[in-house]
Amino acid sequence: MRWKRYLAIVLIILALTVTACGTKQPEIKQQSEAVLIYNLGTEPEILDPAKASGRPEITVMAALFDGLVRYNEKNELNKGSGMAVDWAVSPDGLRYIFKLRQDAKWSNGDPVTAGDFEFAWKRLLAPETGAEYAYQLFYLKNGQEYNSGKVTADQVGVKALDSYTLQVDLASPTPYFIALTATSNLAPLNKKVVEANPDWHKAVETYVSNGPFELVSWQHHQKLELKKNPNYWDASSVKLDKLVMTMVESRDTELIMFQNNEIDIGENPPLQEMRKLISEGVATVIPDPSTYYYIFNTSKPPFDDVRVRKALAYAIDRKAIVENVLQAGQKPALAFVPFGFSDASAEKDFRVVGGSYFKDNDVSEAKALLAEAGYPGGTGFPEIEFLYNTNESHKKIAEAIAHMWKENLGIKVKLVNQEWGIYLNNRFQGNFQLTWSGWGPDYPDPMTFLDVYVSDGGHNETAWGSAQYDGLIGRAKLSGNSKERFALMHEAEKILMDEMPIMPIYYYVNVTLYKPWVKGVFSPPFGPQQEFKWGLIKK
Amino acid sequence: MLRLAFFLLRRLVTCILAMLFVVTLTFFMMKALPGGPFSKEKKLPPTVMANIEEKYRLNDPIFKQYSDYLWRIAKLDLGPSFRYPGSSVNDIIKRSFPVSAALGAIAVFVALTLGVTTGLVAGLRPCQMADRILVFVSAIGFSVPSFVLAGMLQHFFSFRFNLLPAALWGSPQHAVMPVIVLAALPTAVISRLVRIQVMEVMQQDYIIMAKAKGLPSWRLILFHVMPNALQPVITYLGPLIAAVFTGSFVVEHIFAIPGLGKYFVTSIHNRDYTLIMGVTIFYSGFLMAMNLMVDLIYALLNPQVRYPGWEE
Amino acid sequence: MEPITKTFTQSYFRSLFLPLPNANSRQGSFFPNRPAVLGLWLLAVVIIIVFLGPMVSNQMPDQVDLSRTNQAPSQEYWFGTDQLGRDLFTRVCYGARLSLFVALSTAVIVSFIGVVYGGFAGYMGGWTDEVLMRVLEIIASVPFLIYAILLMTVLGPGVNSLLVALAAVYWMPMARVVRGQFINLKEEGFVIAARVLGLSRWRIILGHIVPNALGVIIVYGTLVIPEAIFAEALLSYIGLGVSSPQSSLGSLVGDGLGSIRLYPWQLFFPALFIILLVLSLNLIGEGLREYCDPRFFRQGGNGE
Repeated sequence: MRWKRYLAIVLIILALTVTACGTKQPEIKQQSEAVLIYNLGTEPEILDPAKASGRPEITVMAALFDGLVRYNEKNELNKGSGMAVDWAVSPDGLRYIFKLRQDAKWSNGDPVTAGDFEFAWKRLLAPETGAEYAYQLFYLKNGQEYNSGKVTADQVGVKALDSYTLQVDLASPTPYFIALTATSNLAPLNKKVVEANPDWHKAVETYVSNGPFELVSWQHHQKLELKKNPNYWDASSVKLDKLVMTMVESRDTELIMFQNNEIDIGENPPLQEMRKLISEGVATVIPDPSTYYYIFNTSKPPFDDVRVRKALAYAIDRKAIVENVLQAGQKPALAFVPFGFSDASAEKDFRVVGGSYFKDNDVSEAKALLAEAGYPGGTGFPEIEFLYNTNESHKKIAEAIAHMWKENLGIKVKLVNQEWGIYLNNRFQGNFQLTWSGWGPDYPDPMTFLDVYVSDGGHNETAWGSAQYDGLIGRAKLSGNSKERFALMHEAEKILMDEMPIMPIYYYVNVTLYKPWVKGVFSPPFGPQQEFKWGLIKK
Repeated sequence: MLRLAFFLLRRLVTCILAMLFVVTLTFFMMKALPGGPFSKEKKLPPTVMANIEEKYRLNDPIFKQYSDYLWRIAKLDLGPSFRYPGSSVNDIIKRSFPVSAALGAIAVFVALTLGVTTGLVAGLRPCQMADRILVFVSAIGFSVPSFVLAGMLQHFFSFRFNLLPAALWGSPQHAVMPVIVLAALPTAVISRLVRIQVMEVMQQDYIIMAKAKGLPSWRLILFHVMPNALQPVITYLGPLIAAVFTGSFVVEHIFAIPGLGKYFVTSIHNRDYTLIMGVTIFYSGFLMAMNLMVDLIYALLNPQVRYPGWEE
Repeated sequence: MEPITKTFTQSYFRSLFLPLPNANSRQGSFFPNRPAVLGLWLLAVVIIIVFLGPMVSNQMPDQVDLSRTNQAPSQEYWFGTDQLGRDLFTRVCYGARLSLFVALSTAVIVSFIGVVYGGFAGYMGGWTDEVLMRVLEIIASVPFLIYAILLMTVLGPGVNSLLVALAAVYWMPMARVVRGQFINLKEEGFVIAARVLGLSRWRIILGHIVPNALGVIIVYGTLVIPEAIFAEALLSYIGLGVSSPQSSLGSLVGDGLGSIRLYPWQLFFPALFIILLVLSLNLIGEGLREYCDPRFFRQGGNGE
């Protein structure tokens, strides 16, 4: 009987060893090729352009696809920068006729046609696709109606007149429509391939794209490998042979890999390292046209009083927070719309024209307002609750702000941290007094910000509403006159800052780590995190 | 043989029943969590949301969803992931489990080798210098949180001295740090188990007899002490293998390992319903299978153990 | 390994190997067990520092001062300051108190539930036992985070829901252990004698079985404490811990991890305290366990 025991032990050890030896061999990076390794930071949820909803997915899509137009490094959209060589707009701003380039090919060699656009856009809108970003095409005539199943696909305002002419009809004039066509959700799809195989985007073998790169391999939760697409119309501009996107989630790990030359580009280094990396010139800081702010629940006391809201907003030292907590050169926000949007005259910035609406760290004014509201020196002010989801920077900012309110106004704040799902639920249902929010643009126009706080806005969680504000926004949306439109938007922003349902804190920045040999890769203000088309390696 | 078959059948039926309960409990608790797979900071327009809910049948009554789900898993289909719509849950488990299992296998192997050796050394000469040191070291093994250990290893081996790749998966070097983190605690546990067991076995009459007969000490240890001292280790191996082979969130997050462990945390945070159910079913099934295996090995080693109800 | 994310805990494994009860096992002395004595001393030192330290350091744990961020340890700030300029020593003391409180409370709650559930199952035996044990296994198979998040939703975040969440996992192995004890003890002569004398069921349980199982329950409870400290740390790491300005050792370590390269003391001190606490409690627990373990005494006390 005893041999059985040994047999059992030997078998266990053998089984373990065999499994242990099943590991893969390392891949060797070839020196002759120009290979760039970028840390995407997460597994992309899906590689179907219609369904790409997060910035990581959009970043991959931008490398794989070319839309009607493509932003260049100067943040310009030129005719001929993408699939469209030329376009014309009807005088009422409702009809666009795009002329497509005839030399554009898919990675499998098929020509890119206007039909591919029509197909892709209708697929994005189709209810059965269930695409989150379908609303990017609600600007089309009958776009929303088709998405909610009220009309059929042929009534949607997009049509291929011939192989290289695309006609688009809009529901209302949309000055930023051309910019929208640069987003990856609106990229074309190879009709033939996609219709034949609805699962085309799941496997590398069936994946077809029309952009600077094509997909080589997708090792889930590890890396994506892309190579230069030889069929790309502008292949001569693409200098990278291979683009690897790793999926390392931990920011600490990413930084170590960057310093050990295991990756060439990384993003958002750990908060603690920010100052050092920037001062050493390792990290590049680019303003991101997004705003970080706190929102008050104006339906509940004490925040139903505008003086209280203003007192709280004035009593914090944004500069100190930005310099000591965030440390990445963010700008203190003294208005809602961030820098980076052009005003009526394109060379002027909306924020510069609008200026600041209040002073940072205006403690005396804040004290006066609070006293006026009936809480001199904070006496009688109830303890307030700040709700946040677990995250290092929300926590640090809140701790610093809570301290400032305590010192400057005598107000006590309790910080309540919740798991993301619970947090979102509470925020959407208005179960909060005070919480954080961040807003980034859906399209390059200040309206993407100001539109949020109309009374019935889907993202307006403050319970604040103003008929005057709604009226200004409504008029601005219909206005065909750019000067008038921007004047109305400035006026609306002033109301928002007078009523202070939201308390701006800072404007975001993008912090990117580039190895010195990486050239031509940049972080555009809209769309992807990084634009790789013009990237090259110069060692 | 008939008895064995009966035993296996009985266990199988119990397991399936238990699994049904686990599925039911998890399903309804999961649905009770606030938020859903598609609630995001930028709320979706109602028409878009309606289309998505229709597509994933999230607008059905909950009992319909439940019965549909049961019917689906009866066909061994765990459904599409909500978070990663390009992959089915079956795919996700199929590609991530082998990675976790490979890492886990090395870790268990290391833990067994190290734990058994140190436990044996300590247990043969209790309360001497080597024993004292080993007891202390294993106590420290119990006392360092895994994420601290992982962070420290990475800091020293990758950042300071650049000896090992900081993260990702693919070569034997990539496995070194994850294996150390995974193996630290089991090594300490096994070492203690073996130590206590060896100390006890050494007092048994048959060992004293064998010693008296002048059996060489290596034979004594190999053929008389070890087989007896290893029995509790084998009991421990069942749940250990189930836990380690299914991956670890901390290790996979810090070392960017494409394993299964992360989903036990992220699927719940993402409210990825099908994935939550998938990993739960997979884990409890695996655990049950491992426990069964342990029982069988135990019975093989200990012929006097009767099959049914040997447990208590 | 962090089985807590999948529910089966280290204590579950340990519960498989707890000593069999023996009414006469508690002999010899606990004190000559050197590791245990070392553990006691360590614990005493940590507790003294944690409770008396803040009085000496004269700092507040949540006093933000952006002009003194990330200072290295000095005479004024013994453990340095954190990213918001708070005195780390004071924060570590308060954090350790919270961690200890959470862990001790968990141990008490767990012992109570475990004794009731496990005791009932073990004493009744038969079908009741079978059903209760299967129920336990099923509950143990539902991922822990689902419980934890649900509890946080129902009870709101904070120490209370943390306690309930931890108790929700650790009662299960405790119940297993107690059940095992009861099964063995109820066959002992003195219990049979009590039954023959016609004592009521509850008197037998409370008066005769529980006192005899108490040793093992205490041992096991001691072993739960360090684990609860770990579990809390891990929950903080994945974002389900206490809310600021409260901090636990776990949340301090989590915050400190990102500083390992530039301000290593922000990781070192909280981590050191976790390790010291867990180490001392483990040593004491193991000492208690060996003290209660009949097998150990066969070789003459502690083997000296």
